[in-house]
Parts: sequence; structure tokens; C-alpha cells
Amino acid sequence: MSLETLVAEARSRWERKINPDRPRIIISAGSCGIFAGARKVKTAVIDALKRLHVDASVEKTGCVGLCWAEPMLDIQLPGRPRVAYGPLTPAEAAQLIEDVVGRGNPRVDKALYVYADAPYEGIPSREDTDWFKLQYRITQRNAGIIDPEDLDDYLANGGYEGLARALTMTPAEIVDAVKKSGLRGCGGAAFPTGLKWEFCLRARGTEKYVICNADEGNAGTWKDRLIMEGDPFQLIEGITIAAYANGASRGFIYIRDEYPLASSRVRTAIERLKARGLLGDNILGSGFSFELIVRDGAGSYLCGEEMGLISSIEGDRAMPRSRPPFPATNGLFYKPTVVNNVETLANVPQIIARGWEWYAGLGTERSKGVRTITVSGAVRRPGGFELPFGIPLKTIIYDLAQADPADLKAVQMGGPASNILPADFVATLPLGLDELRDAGTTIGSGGLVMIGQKTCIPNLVLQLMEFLRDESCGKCFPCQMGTRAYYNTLYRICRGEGRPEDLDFMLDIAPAVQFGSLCGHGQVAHVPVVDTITHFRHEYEVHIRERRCPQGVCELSPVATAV
Amino acid sequence: MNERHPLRRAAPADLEARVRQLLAPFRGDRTVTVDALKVIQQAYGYVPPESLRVVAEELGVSENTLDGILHFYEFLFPHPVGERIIRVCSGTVCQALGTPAILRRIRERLGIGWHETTPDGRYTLVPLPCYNTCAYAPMLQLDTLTFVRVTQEQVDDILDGRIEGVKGLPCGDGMPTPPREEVEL
Repeated sequence: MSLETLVAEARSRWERKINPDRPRIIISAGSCGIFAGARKVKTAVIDALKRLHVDASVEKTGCVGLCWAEPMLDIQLPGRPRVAYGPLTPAEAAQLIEDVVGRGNPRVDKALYVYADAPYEGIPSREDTDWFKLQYRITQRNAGIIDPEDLDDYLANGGYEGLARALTMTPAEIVDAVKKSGLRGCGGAAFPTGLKWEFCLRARGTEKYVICNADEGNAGTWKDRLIMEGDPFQLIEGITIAAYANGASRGFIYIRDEYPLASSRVRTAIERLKARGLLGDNILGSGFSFELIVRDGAGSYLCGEEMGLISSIEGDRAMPRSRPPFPATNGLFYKPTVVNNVETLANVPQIIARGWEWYAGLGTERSKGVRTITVSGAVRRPGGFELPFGIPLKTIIYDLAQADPADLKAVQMGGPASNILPADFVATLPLGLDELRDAGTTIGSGGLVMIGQKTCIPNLVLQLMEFLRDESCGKCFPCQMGTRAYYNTLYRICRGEGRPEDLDFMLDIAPAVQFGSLCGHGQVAHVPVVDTITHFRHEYEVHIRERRCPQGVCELSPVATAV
Repeated sequence: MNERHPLRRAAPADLEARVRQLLAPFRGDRTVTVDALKVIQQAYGYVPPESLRVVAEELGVSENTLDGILHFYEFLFPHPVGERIIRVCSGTVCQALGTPAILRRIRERLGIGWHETTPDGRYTLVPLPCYNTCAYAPMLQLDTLTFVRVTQEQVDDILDGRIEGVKGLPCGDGMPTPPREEVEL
């Protein structure tokens, strides 16, 4: 079947879906929503509908990124726009159904926004709310709107336009377009994606691979989960375009074990796509075939490192290899391989469909495009926001996530081994790749963790270091010994047995750990220690000199036994 | 090391035959070592060291490689574990919002820290790698049940079954990805 026929059918089904003749209740069902109680809400909704004797369709969607508003649900009555409500307890959800569906009362008090261009009954339009008006949603554009298991929903919303266009281009043209778009890796290193693809395309050999890195191990980052749970089709379309552009006929998506829902939705999406001829042999009659294999992790942080991930897919411990040679020439099974992050690949279909000029026009001069930022920790409204580069971090922290300026002490930028900076300093910076690099920091994988006044910084760094020590693969000794030395020193400090020379010792070994380590894990392991000694030295000194913990965390906490 | 583990049991007599049967779908594929070990763990609750020789033969990799893999991945248990597994998130946000207090309560009540098992073999405590549902931190899992926004005071209620957890989104435990029906809404 041709894509036009598929899309035409999908569009007519979608039109019927969004112009329903009976009430629609759409429950937000990401991991966050389910943990917050979406299943109980669903049961309450179904019971309430039964009591009202109303025939309604109960559907599900991915997470829209308003984690604080979970459990959330949308209600659409025939002839009315779709309204989002949250957060709801099961009892509140039942009452809401009785009021909205039963009595036609729009319940403005519980409403968040409406999916319409204009306000409805005083409920603001989604695009006018504080959370959405600054956003520019590309990878998240369908998340929270479509059913993540329904391919028709995706096809009706611009799905596979990118691949259809890509198949009319040569691989070199696609690589050129991605290069010109300015798209850079969203996993942390921010390497230009087009350049990576060019290396792989030029590499000799007929057997090439594409790997999607969905081992999102950085605590506080869940952008990839939002994509996989909200719109897995767009990701797979991106992987397929990457495979075509790099001449790969086999690809892997490596999903961490902690994402069972994401894994399930990606697997379902692959089945649906294969059934329609959009994945597998002879895609859309073009002669191009691509097989995508899902691999599950087993709880190792280092699987997120590209070389570690390759080792893990090969069936070994996730140990990095020394570079060069880079994966683009010697990757999986020592064949040319492209390894890209989920968000990077999910951006590709729209870049190809709309043209690189459109993407290059977003963001700032030096950092093009958009990036999904997830904010959590000491904030009132944690969530995920897809924002164009250039927005001040201050806006994200205080306006979108609503951190309390009086409570906020520090911010950790993107991952356990990244900068921990004073909140006042972070508030002066803009969101940008090069802009942040100039300021000596990085947006990393896009997770901002807000650290409040109640948190004891040395103890937090101790726990981070315990994690980094445990996850060090042990292949190179600067990382293995360095993380251990840091942990043991911090452990003593937090027990009240710190010595005056400890801080200088930790600063002294930093360059050895940084420059001696083989991969990104060890190369940045010193960062949280050095940053916190620089900016929060007084907290360490109170622990060492006065042998007390101002926050009352250390004496109280059972510090794990040093190994 | 293994032989001195408190919960160490003798390997079952039919171990070799059963492992060979379990590994039939993986035979000869050296890239699926982790999946193969997960299947064994699902059958035995941990990966018995005696099984490694058989796995090595079936997949065509060395026993040493397998031993390395077994000890490398967080979700694979090289030792027998308690009847119930408590996982507490070790991610940054959970750490900042209360994991230390939760661990303190668990230690007070059960006397165990990370990777330790109670002497009666009831509970094992292991870190939960971050689920990245940080908006609901701190997070605790008891076997396949998940509890979010856990406070120190709730620990006893959770262990005694007085608080209802969310089913169906368990991590690892050596299990293959749960079927769609279990994880979906």
C-alpha cells in the first residue's frame, strides 16, 4: 500500500476520533501518570460512566510533560473542544466525570487548558498557558495528544512525511541536510549529528549499523522516556531515516530495563510499523530494507556510554574501548556504526520533512534548534519542557518549574557527574550549548535537578560518588581508583572524621581522574566534587572543623559501609 | 566468596538439563549473554555459579566472560537473595529528597544496608537505578510493587503491606520485559 493511501485512511480515522459523536475520556498514561495513580483514576472513570449510563470511549495518551499535574485526564464532549484536567484523585475524577459528562458543567476549577485556539468557558488555550507558550515542541509534538500505540494517529499528524521525503533523496543529501540544520547530539556531548553521519557514510564496508541509545541513565533526565512513551513512531521513523542515510540494514535500540513501559510501547510500535510495510523488507516499495531490534539493559549506567553500549549489545560487559577508532568506523562488531540519542533521532523526521532551513532558524546563532529540559527536585512544578535555545534558565527554573527562590540552593545540570552550581549563578545563564560552555558548564542530557536548602551538599556528593564508584567499570584505573578515593574521603567527612587536608587532596587528584580516564564516566567524575568544594566550601568546612552537619542529614543518615 | 554466602544452597541436581532447556532459544548466539543470564535468574531467583559452565557451552563464550558479566550488571544476582527485594532509588533527586532517611529506617528495622540480606533470608536491599520519574521522588520498590513520594514514616507501612503500591512497572529483577498487558494503563 502506498503512503498516500495509508495517510488518507489514517486522516479520516483521526478526523472521526477528534470530532466524536460520544464523549471521549483520554487518560495520561506515562510512567509518571501510572505511578501517580492513573490506573485507579481509569477504574473510577469507567465506574462513573457506568453509573451515568453513558457510552463513552476511554483512551490513553503519553505524558504531556506536566509531571506535577498527574494523574491527568482530558475530556472531550461531542461538538466541544478537548479540555485537560489535573491533578485528580480517583474520587475527584469520578466527580469530574459526573459533572462534565453528566451535567455539562465544564469544571473550570480543575481545568488546566483546552486544545483550541481560543479560550473555552474561561479555560485558557493550551498554547497560551505558562507551560506551553514558551515551548516549541518537535520531538514532543504528539506526546499527550495521540495514542502512542495507534499508528494511524501518528500518520494523521504528519508521520512518515520525513521518511517519504528521505527516500527521494540520496544518503549524501540527507547527511548534508542534517549537517546544515545544526542538529547536535542531545545525549550530553552535543557532537554535530550530521558530521557523525558523514564519518559513517564515508567509512568503508557494506555492513553498517545504526544504534539508538535509549539507556537514559542520568538521574533527573526523562526526555527520552517522554518520547518513547508518548510518540515512539517518530523515534522509529528517525532511526529508519538514519539507517537509510548511513547505509545500514540493521539497527538496535538499546532500552534500559528501568523503562518497561517505554520498552513495551516501542515494541508495539515496531510490530504496527512492520504490519504496514513501514519497517522491515522493502520499505514503501523503495527497495530499502531495515530491521530494528530491541535490546534490554540490565541496570548498568555505563551502557549509556556509546562504546559501553556497543560492548553490551555484543554480549559483553559494558566496558568502553579507547578512542580512536571511533564507532563511526569501528563500532558494533567493529563495523561502521552510528550511535545517536533518542531525542536526536526523534528530531530527524521533522528536519527532513520541513527542511533544514526551518530547524536552523530555531534557537540562537550558536545553538540551533530546541532541547527538552526536565526539571525536578526542590520545585513546585516538576516537568519536561521542549524549549528553543536562548531562553534564560531563570525562566525555566522559576517560571515554568516554580522553584522557591528562598529555598533553592544549588542546581545540578544534567546527570550525576555534572556541575553543581549555586542557583544564583545558574539564574544568570541562558539555555544554549556554546553559551553554557563559555560559562564553564553544560546542559548535558537536559536534566536540571534543583537542590533545596535542606539538602546537605557533602552528603549528596557522597551519594553521587557512591553511585559513580559502583558504576565505574574498572577497566581504567584513574576512574576506578579516583571514584573510590573520592568516596572514601567524602565518607569520612560525612561521618565527622574529616581531616583539614581532605579538600585539597580531592582537588589535587581531579586532573589525574579527568585526563587519565578512558571514557566520559571517569573524565567528569571529579566535577561534582570540585564544583561543590569551590562553591559550597563552607559546608565541607563545618563538617570537618566543627564535626556537625548544618542540615542534620549526616548524623542521621546511615552512611553505607566503605568497601 | 559464593560458598560462604549465608543463603548459599547446593545446586539442584537437574540444573544442567534445565539450563540447557532454558537456553534453547539462545544457542550459539554470543550477543545474548545478558538475556540468557536473566532467563536463568528468572528460574532460580539468582544465577547459580554452577550454571555458568553450561551457559558458556551453549552460547560459545568463556565461563570467565560470563562471570564478569554476572557481576557487572546490577540486575543480575550472583548470590541467592532474600524472599523479598527492597529497592530504593539511588538517583540524585531521590537522594536530595529523602533516600538517606528511608535507608536509615530500613537499617533500624531490618539491620541491612545496600546489597545485604537479613539473616533470616526475608529481605534483600539493593539500590534501584533511577527510573527518572523524579517528579515522584523518593521512590521505593518492594518486589514488583512501586511506591512513590515515600517518607521515612511510610517505610513500616510499606513493609507490612498497609500501603498499596503500583503494580506492573517492576524493574529488572532479572525478568524479561513484562508483557504489554502488565505495564500498560
